[in-house]
Amino acid sequence: MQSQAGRQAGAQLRRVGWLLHAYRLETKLHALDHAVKANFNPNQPRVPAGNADGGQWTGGGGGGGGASARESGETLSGGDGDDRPGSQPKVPKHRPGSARARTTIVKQVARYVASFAIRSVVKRGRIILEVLQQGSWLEEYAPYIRAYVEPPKSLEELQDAVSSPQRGYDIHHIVEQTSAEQDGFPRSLIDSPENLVRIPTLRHWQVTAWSMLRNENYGGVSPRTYLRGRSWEERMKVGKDALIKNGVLKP
Amino acid sequence: MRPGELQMMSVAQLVERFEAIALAQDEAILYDEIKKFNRLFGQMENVKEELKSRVGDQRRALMVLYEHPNAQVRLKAAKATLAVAPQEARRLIEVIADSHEFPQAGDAGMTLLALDEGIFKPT
Repeated sequence: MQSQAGRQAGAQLRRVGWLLHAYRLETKLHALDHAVKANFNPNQPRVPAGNADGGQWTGGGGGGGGASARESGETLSGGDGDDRPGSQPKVPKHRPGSARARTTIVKQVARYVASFAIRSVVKRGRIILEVLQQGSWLEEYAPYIRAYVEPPKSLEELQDAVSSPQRGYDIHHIVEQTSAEQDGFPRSLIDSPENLVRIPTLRHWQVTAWSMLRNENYGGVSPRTYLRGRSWEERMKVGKDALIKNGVLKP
Repeated sequence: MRPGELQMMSVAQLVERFEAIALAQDEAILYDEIKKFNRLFGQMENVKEELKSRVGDQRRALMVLYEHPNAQVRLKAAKATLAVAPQEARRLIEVIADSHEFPQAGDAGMTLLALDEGIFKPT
């Protein structure tokens, strides 16, 4: 059993990790701010959404056209509050007693931080610290939040990571295992390396929940129901698409 | 809601009802209440059907929700108006897909794929 001193030291270490992470982002923000002030061109093309740097300005010079849907009103400097996509979640100072309450808050915090991915590479570090300062108990969930806001990775990277379990990540079956098994696909195929990826836990929950929700896209049934009786290839395509659109897999 | 109650509502009331259901869906997603969400989905389908059945197809009235601060409300309004305002609705779905407001951004991206691949044919 870990001593109280040990726990305190662990908490301190986690805090240092966060501060370093925030510092790196803040350094980036200053560089970006400087570049923007030096030569800002609102019509400069951006990296398409879905890429690791989706929405950010590309290195290419000016150039007209190519305006993205988001372009109007978006600024790299971000602002301190008015342009935030969602309101900052309320984090209780003391650790909630139920796992459900904690999970809900962690999800809200992760989504809130992730929503700054574009207009706010700039202030992300500061935002994380701001949120953490509201409730230090959140530090125990830092690996989950940090994993959630990571940029998408290649399929090879996600597959290779399966052999390295890590807190904040889950092993995910691209083709959903239960319904695949019910439809007679062999376990050797379901658990094959091609079908397994290590993805952030909170993204895993997000994709899994999406697959169970009724959806207009599939005639009013859930993606899981829609895929019943369909080929392995079709399931694999939908599974990969869902990972791409949920910010886990590079297009 | 009792049978026949939707028929008694004005278009504005139906839009309000649509908004309330979408907000409840957002909460159900947050709390992983899958069954509740799926029940709400059915209720929203009924509201859409009622608007569609009104003279002139009143689903366009849902476009007032395009500026709503909640992403689930915006996404649902966009999907519900694809058949009557395809360009405006698609553009909004594109904005949400690019927004990094998850989980709605993910569903918006999948909606665009389903539209492009002919899986989703709004009627």
